[in-house]
Amino acid sequence: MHRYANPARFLKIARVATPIVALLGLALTAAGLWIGLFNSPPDYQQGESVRIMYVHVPAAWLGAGGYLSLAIASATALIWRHPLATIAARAIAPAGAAFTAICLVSGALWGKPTWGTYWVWDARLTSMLVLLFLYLGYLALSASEAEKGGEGRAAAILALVGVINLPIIKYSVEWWNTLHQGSSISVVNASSKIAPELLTPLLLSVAGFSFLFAAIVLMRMRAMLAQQRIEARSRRLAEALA
Amino acid sequence: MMDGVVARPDLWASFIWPAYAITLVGLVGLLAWAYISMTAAEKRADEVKRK
Repeated sequence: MHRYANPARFLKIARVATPIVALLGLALTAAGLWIGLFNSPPDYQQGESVRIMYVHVPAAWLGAGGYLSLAIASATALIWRHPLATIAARAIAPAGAAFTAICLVSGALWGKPTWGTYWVWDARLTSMLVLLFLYLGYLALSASEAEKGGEGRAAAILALVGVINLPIIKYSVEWWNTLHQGSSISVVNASSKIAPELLTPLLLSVAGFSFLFAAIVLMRMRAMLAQQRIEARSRRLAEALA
Repeated sequence: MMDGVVARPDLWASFIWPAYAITLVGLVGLLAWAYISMTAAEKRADEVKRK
């Protein structure tokens, strides 16, 4: 891992990987949403509204999964001080916040025809809203630290503290009586309660959204590394002129 | 087939189109922002390097 923490080596790999990852993401997302909208059957209970699942579930997984990767990057930055770890964390945060927001909005739009309401202070919905606030808090704190030339330690600690919310999100539907349904897919047991006709477009969308998330993170990391090069060059020029 | 699905009132009543529209606008917006900020920063870095 230390080998790839070198920004020059990372950039060499990222320049090749970015278009491939982005195109894979676009193709898989288009395939998943197309099949989900036009070639998959309606659910026997929910009817047509089940099609919102193909955007809601991938967004929810990436909102939570993104936060886990933000926390891992923050821990790496705090413990090993990898030069890329803080940049990776800062690149993950806006993408994770956007996917969490998409999950909340699409969930509210799914809730209206299914439950008869856009919002309830249900444990799953509330913990996802807390996740969005954690992302926003991280973004505000890291922007403030970056402005003052800090290393982002306070933001990294906030990211680590916020990890406590992830098991709460996951088990909220088991620990409390919630309006939100329980999980239909288990990664641990590799099992699913969803019919294959509905599962195929869902897995395609999840894969597509994941590649798009990775492409956004790679592009943001490249932008931040370029910004660092500009600042370093400007500093050297100013020192030479002084 | 697509026109038939787009015009179906049950898909509008079930909020499927608004959910997809918001998601796609969010995804495309995020991708466009990341791409534009990356190309602008890398271009500027190359210009500064050449100075």
